[in-house]
Amino acid sequence: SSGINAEYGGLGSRTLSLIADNFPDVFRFVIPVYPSADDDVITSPYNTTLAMKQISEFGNCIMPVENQSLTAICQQLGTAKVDHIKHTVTESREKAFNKMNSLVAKVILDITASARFDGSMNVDINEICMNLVPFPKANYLVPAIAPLYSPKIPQPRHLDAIFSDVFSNSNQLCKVDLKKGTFLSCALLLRGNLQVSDVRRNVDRLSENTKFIYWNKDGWKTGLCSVPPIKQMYSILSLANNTCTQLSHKICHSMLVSSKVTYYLFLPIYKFNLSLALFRKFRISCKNTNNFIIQFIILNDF
Amino acid sequence: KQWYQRRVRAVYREQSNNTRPGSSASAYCRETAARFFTPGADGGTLIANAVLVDMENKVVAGCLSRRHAGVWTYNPRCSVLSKQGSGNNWANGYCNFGETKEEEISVAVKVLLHSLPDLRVALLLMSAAGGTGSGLGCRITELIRDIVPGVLLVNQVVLPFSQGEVSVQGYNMLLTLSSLYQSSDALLLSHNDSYQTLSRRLIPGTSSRDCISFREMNRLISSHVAGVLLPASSAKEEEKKGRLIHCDDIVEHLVPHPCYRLLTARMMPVISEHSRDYTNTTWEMLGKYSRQMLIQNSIIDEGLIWSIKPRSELLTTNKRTQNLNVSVSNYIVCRGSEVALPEVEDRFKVADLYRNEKTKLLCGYSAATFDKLDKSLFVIDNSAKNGHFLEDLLSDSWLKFQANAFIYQYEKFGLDREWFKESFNVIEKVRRDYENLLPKK
Repeated sequence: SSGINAEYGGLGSRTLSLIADNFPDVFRFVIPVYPSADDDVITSPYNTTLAMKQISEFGNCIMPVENQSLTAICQQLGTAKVDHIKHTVTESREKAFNKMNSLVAKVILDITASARFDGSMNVDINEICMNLVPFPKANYLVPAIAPLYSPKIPQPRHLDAIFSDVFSNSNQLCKVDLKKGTFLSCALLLRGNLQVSDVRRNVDRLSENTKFIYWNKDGWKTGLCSVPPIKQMYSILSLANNTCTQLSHKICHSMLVSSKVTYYLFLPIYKFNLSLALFRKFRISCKNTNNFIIQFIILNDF
Repeated sequence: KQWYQRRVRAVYREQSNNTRPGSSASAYCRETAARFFTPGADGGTLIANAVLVDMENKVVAGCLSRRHAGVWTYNPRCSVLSKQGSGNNWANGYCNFGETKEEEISVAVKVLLHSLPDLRVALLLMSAAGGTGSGLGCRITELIRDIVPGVLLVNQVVLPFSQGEVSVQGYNMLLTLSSLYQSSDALLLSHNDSYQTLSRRLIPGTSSRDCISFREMNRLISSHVAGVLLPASSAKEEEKKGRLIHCDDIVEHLVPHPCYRLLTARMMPVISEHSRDYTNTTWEMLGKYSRQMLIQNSIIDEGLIWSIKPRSELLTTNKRTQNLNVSVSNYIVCRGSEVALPEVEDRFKVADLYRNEKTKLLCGYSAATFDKLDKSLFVIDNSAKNGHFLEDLLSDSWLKFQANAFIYQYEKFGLDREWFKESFNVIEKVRRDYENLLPKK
């Protein structure tokens, strides 16, 4: 079972905590969408931090997605029209968001494909959480998809190329550099007419270049669903539990720190519906991100 | 799900092998039908003596709907399904589903037992890495032990690829093996790695890049299991009515001591249907290769090092004899035409291959062919090298355990660190016992 939240939603966080309270046994998958650095909503850093605390508390598996990465991927696919001088998206906002949302929708479709179709190695959603989250707090899984489908881009001819692509930084839906971090675990959800030996061969090849933590050297979880997405022969979704996610949290944290002075100016807006307790939550959220970063730094040192 | 498919397919293949009678094999067919099936209410179709259990419904539903050429089917009353799945969590299978589904499963088992008053051996097919196969499978083993204490339990356990299919497979394997060591009589182990390599034989003209699916691997596993359990007699010629070897005889022979319960099944030849017309096998060749496979603990007849031999067959003493596999006991079955038994038997009767003079070799023979192979030889052994894989298993899992990784997932269902520590102890003892079988260097 999954719940999808578009951040920076207060409503999303509330829904999440309600589900957690009323259905404690249900696994909660959260896909928070982080705003880009040049987001025009000024309060987005605060919203994000407040939401993050709720998500960390109530979500079992969190798959962060950043608007920046989605935009970059859409550009790569040649579907977003970019003004090269101003470096801003000139296409109507609605169309641009539609394309970005379809990428997120693809992630959800790939995760649920095992439940909807037949396959020789189907991975249930609850298996994802079991295999990828070694500690309750280390539950951030960076999603990446390959191949990136577009009528303009030729599909890779070789299956092995798709496996390599899914680990390249340009395919990640969150701005991270996987090579700089240590993998705690990684899931590869494959769709299409692949066989076990194809998978084994590629996993063996990828293992040589990826750094896994010492106690989980074989921390791969592979799933095979026989039905590929429409108009594609194969597709892979990778969910990487990698310590590099601490870097994106650092960025978020620094965004907050730099705007510490201005938060007092927004006090009236927040005071309208919130009490002082929520401000304390805000402080705690900052602390939380800090703790999170520290935890991951320790893991990265292995 | 693939775990489940294995379980079920093994039973299916095994039983479908029975429905290929040779010309003079009516007694063989009758015995096979009696062993594995019950006549259906309509008198024509046979009903498999099996209970199907899975926490996901697709595979079992598929099995129940298949008709198997009108010869046999599964009994829908002997099946337990659910929709949730165990999420690769041993504790979920054992504690959670073990409790909630216990009632249903005992009802299904009792329905089956009702038609089997003379049951002597029960075979459980399961995987060690998933959640349902491993956890619930262990619970079911204990359940059957409670319901029918006199019956011998054999668990056929599929061990995952060593490269890792599931992150927590180490823990699941550990918990499964330690639980089964306490409740089951014999564990027949099948390693996915070996079966994948062996499956390449079944596809003609394979290269290392070719696709092997679980279907081929399942087929092989079930051939190995079936070849061992199908009827065989201990007489040399069919005319001299020999004593039929029952399944409990086999188990009692293979597991004379409770410390040693790990078994491996091997088979010769493994060739694709295409190549059968071009291959000429002799009993001498089958015996020779099978024994070397046993000595090196391999299920594949490739890459065999022929210089590793029992000391009595060497011209000079060679350091390499130290690598010889030592068995607690072996059981071999020859199936097919013109069985030249003394040759095969003598090859396996060498003293160096056994730990104890008394419990050595049991030989079975059957004139009926297996799977249309003119001659086939099956070896099932309880030998020292069966415990080798435990070393890596223990070291990998211990690293994880010390880092406290994934433990919270098991604690959610009631397992604690003490349970894990006990399992480590049990498996460490098994590993040491098997290592001590080998001669000291």
